[in-house]
Amino acid sequence: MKGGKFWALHMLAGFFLFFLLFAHISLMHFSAGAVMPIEDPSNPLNWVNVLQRSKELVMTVVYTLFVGLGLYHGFYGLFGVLSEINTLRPFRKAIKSALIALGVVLFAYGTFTAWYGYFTL
Amino acid sequence: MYNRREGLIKWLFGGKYNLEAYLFLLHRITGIALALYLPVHIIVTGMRIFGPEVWKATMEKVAHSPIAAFGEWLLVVAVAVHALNGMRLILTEFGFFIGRPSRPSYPYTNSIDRQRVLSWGVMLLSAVFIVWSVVAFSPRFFGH
Repeated sequence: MKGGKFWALHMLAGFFLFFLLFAHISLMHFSAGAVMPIEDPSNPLNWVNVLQRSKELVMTVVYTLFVGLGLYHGFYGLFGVLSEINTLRPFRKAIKSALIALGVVLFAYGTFTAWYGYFTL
Repeated sequence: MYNRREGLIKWLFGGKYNLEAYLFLLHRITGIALALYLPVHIIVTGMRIFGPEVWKATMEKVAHSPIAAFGEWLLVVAVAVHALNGMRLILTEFGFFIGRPSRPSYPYTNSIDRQRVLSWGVMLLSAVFIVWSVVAFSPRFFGH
């Protein structure tokens, strides 16, 4: 893929993240229990709520999408910013490799924890 | 001629900035903060696979204090500002709010003037969200 397609994917990921993030904020930070019924509305981070979300297929799929879209959008943006510090090709290549490696590791870890929670907890 | 090596410095000292340039600066600052926070968030939320004790201990360290509440509020505000301005950028990227190309006849207009209403809309929505978030978070700022 050429640069323009990666840029288009960056925007597409941003578009979907817009809706996912406002849903996430509503669910986790503002009005716990108002958007989706939860076991203990006092705090969405309490273990019973975490367990409830972990066992739902929709939430697990959303977590996986979230991790992938967020990492791609965030690291692509970070690469663009870091490229402005130094435009020399070796620097850009090193930064790109490091961000791709970190992104793949974090995506693997995030996806594993999401699906481990769904099947095992 | 534009010198790309001055990129970082020119974010802050780019001369006479217009509204969109300040939004660009804000978008970058919030974007960098969120990109750096994301790995930490993935690692911390992944702690649930180690069971309720580890999860509870982790949350005690990172989520249950007025300082943590303030950090969380800053994060929510950064997400909202970045997301709203990002949606503005996507809309203008696809040609919305910048008008159709036309002959340069007096009085002259440009695409920046045409999209200004969208920029003000983003700022207004961000301001409403920030006020709302302060109200929503205020009990936690005081440890309730």
